[in-house]
Amino acid sequence: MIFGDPLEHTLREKLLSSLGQARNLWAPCLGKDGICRLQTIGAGPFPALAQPTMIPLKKLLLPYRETVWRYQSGRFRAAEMTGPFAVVGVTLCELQAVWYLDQVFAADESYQTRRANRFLVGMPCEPDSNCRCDQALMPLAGDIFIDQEQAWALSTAGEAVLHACGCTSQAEGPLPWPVGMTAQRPAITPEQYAAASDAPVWAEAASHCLSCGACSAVCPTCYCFDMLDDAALDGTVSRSRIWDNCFFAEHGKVAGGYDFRPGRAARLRFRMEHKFFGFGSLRGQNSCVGCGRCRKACPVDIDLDQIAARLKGEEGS
Amino acid sequence: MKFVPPIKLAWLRFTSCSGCQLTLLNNEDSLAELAHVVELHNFPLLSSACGNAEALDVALVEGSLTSPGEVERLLAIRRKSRLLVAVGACALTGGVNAMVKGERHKAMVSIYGKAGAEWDTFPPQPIHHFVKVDGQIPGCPPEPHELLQAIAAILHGGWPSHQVMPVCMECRINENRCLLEEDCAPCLGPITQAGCDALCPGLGVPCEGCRGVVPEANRDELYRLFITAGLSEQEIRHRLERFGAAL
Ligand code: SF4
Ligand code: SF4
Ligand code: SF4
Ligand code: SF4
Repeated sequence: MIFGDPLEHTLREKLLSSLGQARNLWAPCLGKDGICRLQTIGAGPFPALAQPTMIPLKKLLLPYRETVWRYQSGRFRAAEMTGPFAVVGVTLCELQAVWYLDQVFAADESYQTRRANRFLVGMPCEPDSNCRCDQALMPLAGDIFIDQEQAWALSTAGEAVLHACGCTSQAEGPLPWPVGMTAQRPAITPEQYAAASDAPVWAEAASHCLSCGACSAVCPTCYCFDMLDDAALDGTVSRSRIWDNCFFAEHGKVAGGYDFRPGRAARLRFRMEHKFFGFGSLRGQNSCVGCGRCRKACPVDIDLDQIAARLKGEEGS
Repeated sequence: MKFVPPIKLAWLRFTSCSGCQLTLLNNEDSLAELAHVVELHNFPLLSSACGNAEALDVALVEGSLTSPGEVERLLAIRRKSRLLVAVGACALTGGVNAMVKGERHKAMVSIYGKAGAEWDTFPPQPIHHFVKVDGQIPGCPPEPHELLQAIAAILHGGWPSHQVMPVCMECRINENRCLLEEDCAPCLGPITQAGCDALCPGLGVPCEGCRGVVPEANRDELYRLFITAGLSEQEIRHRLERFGAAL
């Protein structure tokens, strides 16, 4: 280690200064209050490990509220995009989540513009009791993965940056995925899930759920949005896209006051169905990357994996 | 409903602290712009001159109603206003005024002396108990920008769009430390309508619920959580009653 450190230091420093030349740098930062947030780090220091932040990378790729257009003085103006930046210290599960968002928003101009400006650097993490990641779940997005003195290029852009840093010998082995994390991932089929739609666990969980929306807000693969219009005194009108949430009372409401998902049980089932089985063209793709954020954030300790385990047990009973 | 600026606007105050008016005035940077689009007919905190316009485009009403005289004044305003907007917790739910419990007559005498016994008052009521309300701006007080947004939207013939969601959502977006989860603090965020950007929890103070209750709030579970956290039934009731969240 003593001999390894200076080398590692050098590669990281080179990478940092190389990325920092053309981009703002963001990284997970642990606050004094114990909350880890994605923040700009200026000139460093470069994080030593990846950490899950309270709000995941969608904070930058699909901002909570973004102006889609503005109508001012008789002209429509497109929203302004922020400049390019790099995120360093991204966990493996989150690189999967970004791959998933990339699929969902493949045809979304605003997402793709933001995405094209991002350079993502993955790093090893320290799993905790909430983690249930699964390497086999889906591919990874991202550009570089660095672990101690080794670096992997995950994209051609990543390859170029590593090359520019003088890192000519890339790591060859597999990425250092945490081991033994999948044991608690419930293997439930869509048929089993559908058959258990009246299982008592739904009413029980729904009685506790506060509809606070935290689980979906912190989930790296939850992406529902709503569109809101605003006017200003000077006559400017703007339209923004803002995160929506399947736990909110109006999420399932349509014209005529009809509600597709009245009540908390239906909303919990909806979120779980989306996570475990996907919708639309991504039907069949489990999008729970196992980051554990929802379990950690839920004030009443609702855990989808536990619900799934109960559903399997209760099915047919 | 389309308006041609300047719109004739009056601010009416009933039983309240005038904090909502102050909130509008706190938009210092926008007051000049505001003056271009509104014609002010009454604004007690700015001038004691009382407007007597025959017709108003918009009446912004602050405060709860506590006497027959106030009701008459409110009805008169409603009759001559195209739009009537309730501003702030007092106007929407009765606000902190509505916390007064117990014997009214005794309270009047103990606070105002003998004269108090003569006054004709009743327990504070939200204004929708008496008149049709076209728009509501919640909060104690509302956020300064909400008042401007409402006036701007009215000018365009609409009303500001907002999400029906709890304070918790804004609290998560801001990546605040959750006081309920981490400290078992009696935070009303989960049942309170958002829009304040989770102001209080962002400063480390549990939400008091000043913006009113979200639809379909799970009071039962919050009650269970507060009991587990060591609050007494009475403490919980008082907390919920502060801004009318008790059932
Ligand atoms: S469902 Fe929960 S554990 Fe799965 S990706 Fe979303 S936040 Fe993470
Ligand atoms: S975090 Fe928990 S309480 Fe809040 S909406 Fe999700 S499941 Fe319900
Ligand atoms: S601190 Fe209060 S408002 Fe914020 S998330 Fe926790 S319960 Fe909700
Ligand atoms: S956090 Fe709660 S009490 Fe504080 S301003 Fe918002 S709604 Fe009002």
